[in-house]
Amino acid sequence: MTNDNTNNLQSDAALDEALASLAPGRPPARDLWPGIESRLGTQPVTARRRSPWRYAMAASMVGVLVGGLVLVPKAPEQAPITIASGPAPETAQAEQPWEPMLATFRQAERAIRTSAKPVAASPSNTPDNAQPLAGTLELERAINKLEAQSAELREQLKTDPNDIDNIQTLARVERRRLELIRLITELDQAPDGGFSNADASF
Amino acid sequence: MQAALATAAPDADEIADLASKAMGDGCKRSFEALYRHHIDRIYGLVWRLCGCNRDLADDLTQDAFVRAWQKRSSFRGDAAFGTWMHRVAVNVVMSDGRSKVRAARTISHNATDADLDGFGADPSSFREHGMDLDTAIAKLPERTRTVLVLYAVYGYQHDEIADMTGMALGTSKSQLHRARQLVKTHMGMSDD
Repeated sequence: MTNDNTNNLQSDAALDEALASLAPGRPPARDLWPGIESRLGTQPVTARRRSPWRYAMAASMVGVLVGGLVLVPKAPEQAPITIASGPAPETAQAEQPWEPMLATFRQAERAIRTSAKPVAASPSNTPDNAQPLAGTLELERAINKLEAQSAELREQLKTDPNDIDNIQTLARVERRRLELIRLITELDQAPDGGFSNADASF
Repeated sequence: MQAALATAAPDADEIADLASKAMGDGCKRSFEALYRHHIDRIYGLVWRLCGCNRDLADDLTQDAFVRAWQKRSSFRGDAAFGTWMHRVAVNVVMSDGRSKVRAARTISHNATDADLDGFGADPSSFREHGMDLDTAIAKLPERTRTVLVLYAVYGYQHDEIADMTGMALGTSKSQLHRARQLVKTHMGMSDD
């Protein structure tokens, strides 16, 4: 073995040793989380490069919702939304500032649900062959998603009950959830599920 | 959840649970717990990939976690969150971060002791060779540096590096060879 080769091996070994001793972790000089958290609700960084099909999908979803609102007849009777005059049972303990608002929305939800008449049984609407409409399923998914968001926000508000951003977001989420519950209730009340035969291909 | 945030090192099951809640259910507090657990390794990776520039590493690390959140539906849970997050970070540095990396190249080539303070191998053992190892790595060309960092510091194999970076397997191997030669030269360990 020549001196060159020996030196080469030695330098390779020294480099391997040096590389192996490098720590893979390095703490940042400052906490990066606040900057990350503030961007979690924003659109993707590459939003301007999003494919056109996303816009097409969004447009068709809006079309379906608007079309549904136009086509679905109003429920014959709809109980007015009442606001709880006293504290809700769950607010009997130390009440958080946002809980009356939540209680109001939940009271309204109960009013909508209780005002809904049971759908009359018909040969085409028995438990065995009842088929939920795709639009109804979509609405249920959306309602569940909003409920999850609401639960997450309420959890965060337990830590910081006066976080005005979270309170406003909770109000928006609850308002949207209520709208969808009202819509799905109206769809359930419609004799043909909100769609006439002529609209069956919608 | 508070406990998860408070403890320094959640175990693998807790990490998997946090990943499921954050990625599957969109729970931000679980995502924060994941951030707290993985930040040092992700930041270390990004910091080295972008040439030991602290401000750039801060920026790109934040981009990486935001990107991970936005793309959380693509996390299938079949890989560990840390592995998946590494891939996201590499993608951010190599795509969106590339322009920022180039803009900061002159700064990177002049990485200061403040940038390198308290990190990496004991500098005193390498200063005799003329340059700190991390400084030598920072001076490498972008692709060369990426391969060396992923292979030598984070233990990825060439096929994984090729998959992550989009370069050919042979290119990864040749870039590693080139990186080693350049680092040795920079550190005065060359045989010339």
